[in-house]
Amino acid sequence: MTDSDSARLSRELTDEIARLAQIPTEDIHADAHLIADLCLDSLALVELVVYLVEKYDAESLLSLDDREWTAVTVESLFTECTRGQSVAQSWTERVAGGTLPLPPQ
Amino acid sequence: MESLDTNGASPSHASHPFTAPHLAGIRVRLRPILPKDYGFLQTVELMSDLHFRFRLRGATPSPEQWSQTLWHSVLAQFLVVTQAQDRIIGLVMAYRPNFQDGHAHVGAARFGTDTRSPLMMLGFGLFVQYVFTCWNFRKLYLETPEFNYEQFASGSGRYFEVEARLREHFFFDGRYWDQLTLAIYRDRWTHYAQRLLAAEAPDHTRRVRVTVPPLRSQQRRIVTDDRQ
Repeated sequence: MTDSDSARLSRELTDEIARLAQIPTEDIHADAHLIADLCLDSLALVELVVYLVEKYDAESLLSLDDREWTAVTVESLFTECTRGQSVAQSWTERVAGGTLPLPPQ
Repeated sequence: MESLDTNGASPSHASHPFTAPHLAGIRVRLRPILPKDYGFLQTVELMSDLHFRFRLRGATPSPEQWSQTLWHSVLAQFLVVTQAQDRIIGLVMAYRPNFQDGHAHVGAARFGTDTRSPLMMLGFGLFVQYVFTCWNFRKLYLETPEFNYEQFASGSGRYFEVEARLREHFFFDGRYWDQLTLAIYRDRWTHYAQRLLAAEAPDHTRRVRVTVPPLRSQQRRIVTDDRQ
């Protein structure tokens, strides 16, 4: 996966999370927790899982039994779903590179 | 009179073969309640948040009364069980069916309400699909106190409509809470839930077409249209 691929995928994921959280994309930050910060409810989590399975075919999402959603951030989710896809840049690096919004100070 | 093909099937129904609703998905499945489940169910209902959030709302009925409550006015009821660990995570039910007017009530209770999880929602989705497949309901009502609503509020306007609000209907912890009546419409459900259910379908190609049969009256209209 090239840098531009991973940047595009992370942008698409950000857009999807923003849609589900019903907030502007620029308010989604890499370290935002899906539940505590973005207030995704159970139905939004289902829709997010469906999106991720369709998009990334992530093996880890085939069973959700032990998943603790309160600890999941936007960045950790992206890293998990693109694991094994040779993401050239981490989310944090892309933030530093100006391709994603910075978290609030 | 409609002509029948050599298999005895109506031509207008040939493209709609019999398909049993999915009771099992990739992550969760629905299984009937067995007598051996009663002890677990009573314990989990009386010793968790559910005791106050769900139907008992703090009351402690006798074991006999409790089992009657479990089945009161019930049309269909299943446990939601995870596929990976065979863990019971909740209960889904359809009750108070009104066959004359084409609606029923549905409900769900998630065990372990301290964490938010999509698993129970997937089980509830399978169940709604099951009810729409087995019975000719136009819509399903879901009554919920407002303190439970935030768990699925994002579905408003898509999966369901908020159709009624009884103001200050429930008393709990020093204040009154509203009761909301949500309505899940068959046609809206078909549209919005298809993607969700396809992702949960036990076909790893995830290209299963999941549809809700149209109402019988609509089928009759289709037949009439075919003749014209």
